[in-house]
Amino acid sequence: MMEKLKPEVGQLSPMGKECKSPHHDSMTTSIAGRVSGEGCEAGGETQEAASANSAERDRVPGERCNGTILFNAVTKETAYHSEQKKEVPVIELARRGGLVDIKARELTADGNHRIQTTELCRPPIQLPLPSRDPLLSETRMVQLSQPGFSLPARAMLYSNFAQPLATMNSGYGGEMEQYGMYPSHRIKRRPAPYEIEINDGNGSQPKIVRRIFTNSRERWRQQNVNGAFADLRQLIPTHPPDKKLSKNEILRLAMKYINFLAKLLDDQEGVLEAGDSGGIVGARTHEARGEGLVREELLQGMLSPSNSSCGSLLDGDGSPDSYTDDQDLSIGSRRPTSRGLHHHSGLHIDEQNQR
Amino acid sequence: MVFDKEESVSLVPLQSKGKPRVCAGCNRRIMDRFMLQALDRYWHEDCLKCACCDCRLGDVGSTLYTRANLILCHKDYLRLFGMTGNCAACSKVIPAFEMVMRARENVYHLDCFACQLCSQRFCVGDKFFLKNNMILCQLDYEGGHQNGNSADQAL
Repeated sequence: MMEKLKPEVGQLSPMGKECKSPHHDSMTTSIAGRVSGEGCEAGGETQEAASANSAERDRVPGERCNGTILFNAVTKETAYHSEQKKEVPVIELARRGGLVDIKARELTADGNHRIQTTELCRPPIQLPLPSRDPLLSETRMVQLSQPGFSLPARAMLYSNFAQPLATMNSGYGGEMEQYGMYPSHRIKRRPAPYEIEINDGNGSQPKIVRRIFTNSRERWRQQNVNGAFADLRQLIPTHPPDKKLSKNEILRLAMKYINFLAKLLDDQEGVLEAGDSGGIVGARTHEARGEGLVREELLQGMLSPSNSSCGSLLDGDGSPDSYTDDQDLSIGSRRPTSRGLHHHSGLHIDEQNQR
Repeated sequence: MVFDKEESVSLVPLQSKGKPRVCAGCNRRIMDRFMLQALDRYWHEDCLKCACCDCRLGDVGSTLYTRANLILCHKDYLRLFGMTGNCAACSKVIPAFEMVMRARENVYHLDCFACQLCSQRFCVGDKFFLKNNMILCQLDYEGGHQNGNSADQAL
């Protein structure tokens, strides 16, 4: 229990001396010192000795401290009894008056034993040992609560002096005072339950990690979905083309477009099946062979009237133009047939027509 | 057989004398000040719309495309019935309505038409060179070797 405190520069060093004393009283002092120490070390002990600290904190559940107390305690290091009193009795939560009732208060029932109990209480509720009474000199022993008592420990985390402790929690914002000994009472954000967890060394660290992991996984999933929506948006014809569509609109317009294309495809096949006058005599016979041939016939049918326009080849003039020029007006096939082939079949049809 | 046609769309004013025209889109009389005339019919400005993207054809341009009983704008006509190809630079498909750059037999996306070594696009009047079917700017081409490769004048 008597862990070595890392003496903080300046403010904590007197406390550090206290802490190292093996005296029984100094046990509490050490704890108190640790508490204050944690207050002063601006998150420096995030990993190392964190478990030790948390263990300490677990056993000091009901202490009521606030910044001023701590400050007083530090300055009056010689009178460590008073220090104890000031630090050990109560730990205030972050907000002034925002203390949390902790079960540890039940321990005060043992007031007869004059056991210095540590608990978290609201200010109006008077402890048997008022926090700021400097005159108590009876033996005090820190009532150690069970280790599972993490809530007071959490509360400690958000006491004013313990503000820098919050830097351990990745979820906590950065509005903290620089000086642990003069902690601000203005914590701007109520910590979420998962953030109050401190590094007990047992189960809380994985919880934080899991939460962070879940957050980033959800964010990744959302970005994935948004990317998919963006890709779908690119395929939907609108006017103007860069018109902003909501997700709902994207889906509905996509449905509309798909139905339109399906209907168009059906109609195209219907047109072919109905047959054309003129050269495509064998159109009906080709039906059975499937869509590919249907397209081929459509192509042939289309080519005959516009044969003349197929003659010109593309020349590399280097200027941007539509991929399909006028000669492609008649090309209905979606197969990437070469122009030579089109030309050829067009000629073929013409010959047939002329017979 | 309905062939594809480019049709003209013209904006005509409502004639005060004579019977009012009936819109071919909604079959109602046209009481607007202006109406569109296309395909030998008359239309409300709001009624003559592309079947695909729903743009008002009177606003977009002066040509209308018809195919498969559909009235389409130029872009959508190409989108549905145009021929597509692949970009020679990125090998991805080029939709029929998109602007392309051509160099000899190669076709490129507008964005892909850049020097393939330094990724700089070209300005109007810049020279570009085709080497091993690669597009190169003047610096890269001359930085390579000084052989007399085929050089095309851009734009």
